[in-house]
Amino acid sequence: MPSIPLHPRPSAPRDETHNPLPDLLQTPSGLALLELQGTINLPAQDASQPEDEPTESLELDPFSATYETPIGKLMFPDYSAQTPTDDIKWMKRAYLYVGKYQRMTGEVKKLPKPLAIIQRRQKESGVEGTGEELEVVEIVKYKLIFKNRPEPVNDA
Amino acid sequence: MSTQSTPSILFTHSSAQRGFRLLELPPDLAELLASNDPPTLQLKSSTQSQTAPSSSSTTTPVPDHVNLCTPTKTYSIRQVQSSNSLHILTPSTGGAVRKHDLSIVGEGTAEEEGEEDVDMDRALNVTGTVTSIAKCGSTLELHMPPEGFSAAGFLSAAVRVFGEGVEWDGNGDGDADMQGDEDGTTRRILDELFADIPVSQAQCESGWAEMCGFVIPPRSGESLTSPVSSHCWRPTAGKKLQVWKMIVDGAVLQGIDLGKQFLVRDLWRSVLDDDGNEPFPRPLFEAVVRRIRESGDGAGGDLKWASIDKDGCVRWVGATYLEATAPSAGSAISESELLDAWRDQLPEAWRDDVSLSILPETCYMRPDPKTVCFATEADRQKAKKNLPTDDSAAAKKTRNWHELFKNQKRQKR
Repeated sequence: MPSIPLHPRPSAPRDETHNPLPDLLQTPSGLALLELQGTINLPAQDASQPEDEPTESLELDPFSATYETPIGKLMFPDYSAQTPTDDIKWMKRAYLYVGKYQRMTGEVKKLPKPLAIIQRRQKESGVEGTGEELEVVEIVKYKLIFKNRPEPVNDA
Repeated sequence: MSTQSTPSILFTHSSAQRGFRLLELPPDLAELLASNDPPTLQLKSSTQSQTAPSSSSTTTPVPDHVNLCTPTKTYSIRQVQSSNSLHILTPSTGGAVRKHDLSIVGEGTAEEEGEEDVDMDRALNVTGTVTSIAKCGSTLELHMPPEGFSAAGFLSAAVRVFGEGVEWDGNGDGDADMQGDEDGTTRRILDELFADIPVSQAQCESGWAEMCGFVIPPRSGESLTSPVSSHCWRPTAGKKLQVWKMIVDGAVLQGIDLGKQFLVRDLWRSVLDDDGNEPFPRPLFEAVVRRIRESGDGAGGDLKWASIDKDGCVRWVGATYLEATAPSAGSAISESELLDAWRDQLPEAWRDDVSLSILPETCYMRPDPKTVCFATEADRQKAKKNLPTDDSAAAKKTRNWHELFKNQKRQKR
């Protein structure tokens, strides 16, 4: 079997979308890790397209085939952009609100070993690929972890 | 609630899920990847047909495993399932979120639903959006067995054996002239051969040099046959010994001092017979010279000049002799017999260096106190595996549940 190359750097250009996460969690590619106990149940994808909004979503998103389902909100209550980088107390507390009435408490953790995020390298169009190629998109050193059950919160 | 006033980040799930794998990086690999000019790594797997019948199948746990190779190191990859799900997030403009759906997460939007133009970020008090674009239920862990990986087993299984009974037509036509061209072809053949060996390039190279592997490139005008491994050979121990014997005899005849620098071409001429016929292929001769020469000469490079590394060579001759004459416990020879024969293989001046203690301990076994025999790769693995006798203790250290309970299950039956 031929060997498969794993390129150490991604071929695709960086995503320039504004990254709202704390600096520590930001990576050059923008990718970050969130660990969750349990799964996120989503509505069946094809059924969720409401009849009255197709044109609007088309305007909003050039890739009309993709849409995002809101799950909740992430919050770092002790973090502020002004916090000096060596002050890491804020990492101890993070919230993930799921819907309106549930909240999970978690934290930002340094990974024991960094994780490489790997994907299949996109073939340049027109070039007939000779074989599969992989690339390291990002190396992440921190993760957001929510390992506790959600607790109810009163929203009012 | 007070926290509701802190700015928050909208967390969404994207319908455009992407395929990612997570690979845990050991410190040395993380460092390598973070360096300025990281090398391209290779994922290599062995073809099942090659490993299954070979002796190396005992050394490798699964036949169709995949190894990750840096230029010099090899790691085995193991997939580890996680009960938690790992989401990969990426910043998003939030543009693909339907406003209708936002009422799920936020207060406020319900009342403002009429006003389409209201800024979503402000309405929800969010500073931005991150979206989950992939979910990974497992990570890939890398392992390096303490004894390391050896290419030898894979290489031996992949190439042809050059021993007694192999036809060799040495009519003495090739004398150094087309060397450059041949070197290029040889390199190409080796690269292709190593691509199928699931360990790193450097380990392939050293394993190849260790076994004195050599390539007989197709004669000019002939094309490469497929697979390229049909051009690749490894000599038997007996053949290596025969080459060595002829080198020693030739050196004596021509007055070449093997311990000092000599022209490799002169040494080659010394082994040719009177009509210039080659007793064995020149690439085999060169492989042997490379194996025993002073490594300071820059192994793998140009082989114009060489000098023999005496200590390494004496050791090599001893081990090769043992492999040739006493390959298994059944054919073990007495220690004194080995030492005598070993001395006879060496140039006069080196005879005093012979001693069993200079042989690496992994290279021989003692079936009984008086005799010795060669330890094959399989024997060595067995010896290693016997060291940690308590299997379950080793398994307990792993996080892999299958391994943890495998032994218990076996005992119950």
